[in-house]
Amino acid sequence: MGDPRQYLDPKILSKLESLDLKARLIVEGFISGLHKSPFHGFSVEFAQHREYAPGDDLRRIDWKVYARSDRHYIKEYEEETNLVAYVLLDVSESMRYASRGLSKLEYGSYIAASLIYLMLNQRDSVGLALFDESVRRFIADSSNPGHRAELMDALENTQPAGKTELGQVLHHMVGQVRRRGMLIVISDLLTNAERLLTGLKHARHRRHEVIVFHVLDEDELTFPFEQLTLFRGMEGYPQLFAEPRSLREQYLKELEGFVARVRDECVAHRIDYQQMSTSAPLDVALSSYLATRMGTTRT
Amino acid sequence: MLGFENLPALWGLLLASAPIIIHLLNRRRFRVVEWAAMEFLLASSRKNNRRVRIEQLVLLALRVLMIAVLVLLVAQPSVKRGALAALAERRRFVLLVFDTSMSMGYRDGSTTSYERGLAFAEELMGSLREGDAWALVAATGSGKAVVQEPSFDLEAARAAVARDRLPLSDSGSSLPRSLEAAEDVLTRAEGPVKEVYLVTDLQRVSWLGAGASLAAEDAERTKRLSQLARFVLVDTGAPEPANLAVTRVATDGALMVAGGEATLRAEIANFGPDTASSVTVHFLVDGFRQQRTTLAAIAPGGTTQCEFRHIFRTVGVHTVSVELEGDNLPKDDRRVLALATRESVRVLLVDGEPGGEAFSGETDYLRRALRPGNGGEPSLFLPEVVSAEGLSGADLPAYDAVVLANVERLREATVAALDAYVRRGGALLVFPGDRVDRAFYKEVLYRDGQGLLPCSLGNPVGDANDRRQAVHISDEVSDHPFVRLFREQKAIRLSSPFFFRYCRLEGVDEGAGARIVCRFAGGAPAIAERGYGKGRVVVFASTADDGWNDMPSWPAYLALMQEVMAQVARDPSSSRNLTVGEPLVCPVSPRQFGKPALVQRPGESRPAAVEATSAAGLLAVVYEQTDRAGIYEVTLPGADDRARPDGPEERRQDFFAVNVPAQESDIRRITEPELRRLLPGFEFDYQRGGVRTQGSSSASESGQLWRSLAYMLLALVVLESILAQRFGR
Repeated sequence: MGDPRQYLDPKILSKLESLDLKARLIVEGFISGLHKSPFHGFSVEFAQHREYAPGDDLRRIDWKVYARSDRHYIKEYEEETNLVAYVLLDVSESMRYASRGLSKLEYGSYIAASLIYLMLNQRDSVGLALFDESVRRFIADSSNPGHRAELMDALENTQPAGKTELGQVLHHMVGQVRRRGMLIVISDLLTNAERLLTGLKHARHRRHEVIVFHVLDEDELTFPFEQLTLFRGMEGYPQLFAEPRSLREQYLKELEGFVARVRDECVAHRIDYQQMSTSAPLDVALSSYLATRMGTTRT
Repeated sequence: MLGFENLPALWGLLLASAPIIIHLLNRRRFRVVEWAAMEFLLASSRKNNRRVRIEQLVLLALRVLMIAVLVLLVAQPSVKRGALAALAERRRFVLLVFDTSMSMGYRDGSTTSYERGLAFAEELMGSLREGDAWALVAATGSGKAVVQEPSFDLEAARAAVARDRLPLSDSGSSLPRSLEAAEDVLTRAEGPVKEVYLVTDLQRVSWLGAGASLAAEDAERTKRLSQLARFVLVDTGAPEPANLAVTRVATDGALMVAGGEATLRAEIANFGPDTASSVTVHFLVDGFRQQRTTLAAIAPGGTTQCEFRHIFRTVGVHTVSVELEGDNLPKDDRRVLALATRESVRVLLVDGEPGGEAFSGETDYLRRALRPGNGGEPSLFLPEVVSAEGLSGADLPAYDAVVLANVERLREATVAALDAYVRRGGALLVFPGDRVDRAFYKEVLYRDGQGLLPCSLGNPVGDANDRRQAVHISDEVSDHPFVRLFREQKAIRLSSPFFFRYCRLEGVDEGAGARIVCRFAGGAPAIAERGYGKGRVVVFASTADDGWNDMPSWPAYLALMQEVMAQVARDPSSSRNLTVGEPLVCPVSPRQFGKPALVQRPGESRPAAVEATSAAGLLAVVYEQTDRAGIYEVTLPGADDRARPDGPEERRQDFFAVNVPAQESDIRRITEPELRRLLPGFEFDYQRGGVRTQGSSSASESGQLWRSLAYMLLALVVLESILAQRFGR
């Protein structure tokens, strides 16, 4: 099998077939690096039993109770009834950009998948929203283990297209998710900055936890182009014929300016902001989630 | 203005278009990328646009320029006429001081110092631009120095340094005098940039004369000059010149009588670093070769004498030429001498105390001594006696010697006439006596050594009447030529005559050229003499007659008087031998006055007509253009064909010999460091002048240009690299 941590490397992951498998390997790879199982770290308080309903995970049947009462009850924990998480994955055209064979969308979906895996294992209620200008596909949250298949399927079979309008999507999601929950945004954030920030503020205003995974391609972060290039803009942007070497400095400045602004706003609103390059190992995403998660158990 | 040595290389300028072509080609090949973060890229492009465009243009321009400069360098630019010096944009005043003295004719290789100097002058004048002023001073010894006052006419500048306008002269040079003229011109010059160019061959004697250092006044002048202007010393002289010259030709002093043998002596000098050997000397008389001698070695810096004898059979003016076989400075390889043979010596005896009886006059004995015969017989000496009053009316130039015997005093006009007469070569003999007004002689004739006489007549010693006391002339015979007869034999002695009374001869300044011919036994001078102008003056301490002494009855009296007379009598040749620049003065008779004479200058095809003039009592043809060495022939108007050179009779033909100054032949150089040492306040730039080929005439300026271009290229390369790095980031 080799080192489970190898599956934290997106390159290696990309060789595998199923996203579900990838997700599992990611998580296991991640966990293998941890001292303690994240599962055990949580204080999962037994809240109550509830009667088994068809579709519930058989593993959650409290066999002790069955042994005593011959009735099927599943355990309900505080956590699983309290945390709702939605993964908001950017599936716009800009996510299509792939410099070394792995697109931002693919990478983003690895993050999404592994987080979903992890969260479902923790009995969180996880939902998914795939968005571009608006929510393209919405899967309501559920803590049902079988739910995972549906989510994975949605992730695997999506095509990046359309423009990005994250701000609007956030506003919409905030409306959708009644209960206080976690919004995990996975996007390249190549959208209108003003509206994005407004959206994020709105989410926080409604007391949602927000994690932002800012996924950018290595090329977008370093702008390594040397040769004269015709840049064809995605999502309807015009094209630019330029000598990239002369633009690099200024481009990076522009990018940095934007990132700094977003980061500052996130910090100001206690939004966990993680910038990720598509070549970075995935445990960063997971540990970031966990850190936020740990910080939220009491709130 | 700008020329290129390697013109074809300019095709390389096409290479300069290479970067543009490359740039254009590059634009064709490009990548296509579908880019997500377009917004940032567009923003950066907008902000970058103008700056980037400029940067690109700058780099492109730099690259084009680099190639262009490289190509220009390879094409080897040369600058003509100092056009690029015009970048300085300052008006110049250029003073050219050109040494045209004889020594500049020294040939070194294929050119002479003069030719090299002309080439430089041409270049210099050619470098003048509109607004520049120039002036020209020719450095020769003969008076007229300033050739051209400050002028703005640039055409005239180029014309002025042409060979025919600035000819080489035969005269010597005196640079201190020329620098005086230069300073005069410079003070009248205007303009911010003043430059003085002295073109010379650095001949030692032209700077120092015969001495070893410059006069303080001249040293001061050079200092002032170098403060007024930038002084450039252009040395066109040969580095190690060697010159042989005939520096002197003269007779041995004996009287030149037709039919008598004359001895001619020539002096050959070697002004060179090496010994001259096998030097052949030719003697010519009246144009015909007479004799040839080969000299043994002449040491460097040394001289050798050689002599030859010749009998001048005919009466008249003869020309003698002494010639060497050619060397690098041919002008001084020939020296000419005009010789007039004479038939007689006319002596004017002025009797200050005439007497009626025979031998009672003051000059009677003397007359007899000079012309012993009874009259009618031919005699060399032709004495004529006049009284003191008669002297004022006498035609002095007609006489070869004038004797004042016991003359009381003279009129002012007579003194002036005598002065002029002696200066022109006449001889004056003065005898004292009772009548003599000693105060007059002292104040007017002696004038503290500035006047005619070499001494004054002091108080007489002794008593003429007392024949018991007497002094004698010392037996120690001096080496003075007057008394050579008494040196050559001992039978007849100078000490024989008795002198009862004599005047003290006071103020004999031997340092100023006066000589004491013989002394009395006690030491007092008995005869003193001195040259005055071209003539001689002899003063005797005792009377011409037997008033104060018994010399006239002494057997050797005749011999002594004739000897003295022969030696001092005006040499008719002396006025005929001149140095370049001296005016030629040919006396004419009153009958010839009024009609033009013809003067044939050496080297001219036709003679010039010159009218006679009258000045200071002398009727003569005066010809001033004696700037060329050689024989000048003067043809005088008149009907009489007999040529009599020693009188004002109507002679038809006369010759004058004009020579280069012997000093000018000394072409030994003064070195630049030596000059700087001698003249410490004199700041000058030194440069060697030479004949340059067309290309290298502007070599220094070309070199400047090349260097400038090379530096520019270097700077461009560095700049391009830095900028490309920066822009590329």
